Amino acid sequence: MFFRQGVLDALCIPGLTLFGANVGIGVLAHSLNVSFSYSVMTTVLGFSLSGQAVIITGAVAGTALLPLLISATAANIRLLPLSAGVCAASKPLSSLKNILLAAVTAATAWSIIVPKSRTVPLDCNIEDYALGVASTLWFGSVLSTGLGWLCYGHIPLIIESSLAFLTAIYFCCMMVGESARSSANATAAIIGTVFTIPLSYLMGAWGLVMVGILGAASTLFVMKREGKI
Amino acid sequence: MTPIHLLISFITANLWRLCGALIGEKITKNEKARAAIDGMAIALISGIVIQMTFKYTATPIYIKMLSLIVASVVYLKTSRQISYSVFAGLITFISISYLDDR
Repeated sequence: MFFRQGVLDALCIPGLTLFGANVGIGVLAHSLNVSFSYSVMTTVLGFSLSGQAVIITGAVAGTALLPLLISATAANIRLLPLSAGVCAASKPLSSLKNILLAAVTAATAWSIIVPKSRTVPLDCNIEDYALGVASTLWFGSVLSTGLGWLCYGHIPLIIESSLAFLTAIYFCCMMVGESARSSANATAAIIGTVFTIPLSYLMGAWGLVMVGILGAASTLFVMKREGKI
Repeated sequence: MTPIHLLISFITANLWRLCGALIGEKITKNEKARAAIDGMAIALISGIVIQMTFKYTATPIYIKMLSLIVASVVYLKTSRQISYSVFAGLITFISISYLDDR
């Protein structure tokens, strides 16, 4: 699979929803009086919607650095399984490409690359395709953050809210699709849906980490019961 | 906002990505580990959807829930056509928000 195919796949609905959400980040940053360059640089360096939102709102509110570091660490921990899944699925041939791929990976890239990897033979290497998807999403997100910052005040509130929620609609559809694929995936999705809010109240930002651990454990449990592993 | 905040953003995001890359490289041929990592990712992404529904924006929760339900139903009924589903969810969100405002 080639880089160009990855670029084209990323520029369809998944990319457009992510770019819409990044327009929302640009608008949020401008509304909090963060400069254009800092707004864009949070996407260039961080490229993680919830992590960026934590850093921008925390910095503007004057939160001390240590609590901000802990909150951002917890918000970004989801990038570990996502990048591990993408790197395992695309099987890069060199460590450099592996790290480069992980550096531009987030949830949207996972939702394109991992399902795609199941459609090719097990020994097939899709590193160029994965790099095409992930780097296009990253580059488009950087541009759309800047666009959002410039458009602040010119976008009606309803459109602004719907752009921010587009990613959730896309992820929801993808998770419904994943759940229909196997009962192990369905169990993980149900755990994520049911336990996120209660655990977030109990453990703050670390609640989502616990949800991830429960999801992994439930997947293994269900697959073992079904004799698949 | 200062360069220190950008540094925190860079380190906290990319440290996890680096760990993920190293783990991903090791588990390429380990089906059990890959299944666990995929389960973790699915639970986390489902959690993110719920967080985005119940937190963050000023839009009423029922509008967001309805949009998600409409998009999911369209996704299943149209043999997983993601463009139709997202469009249906978006139209639901905008139209109900508009009615709610009035």
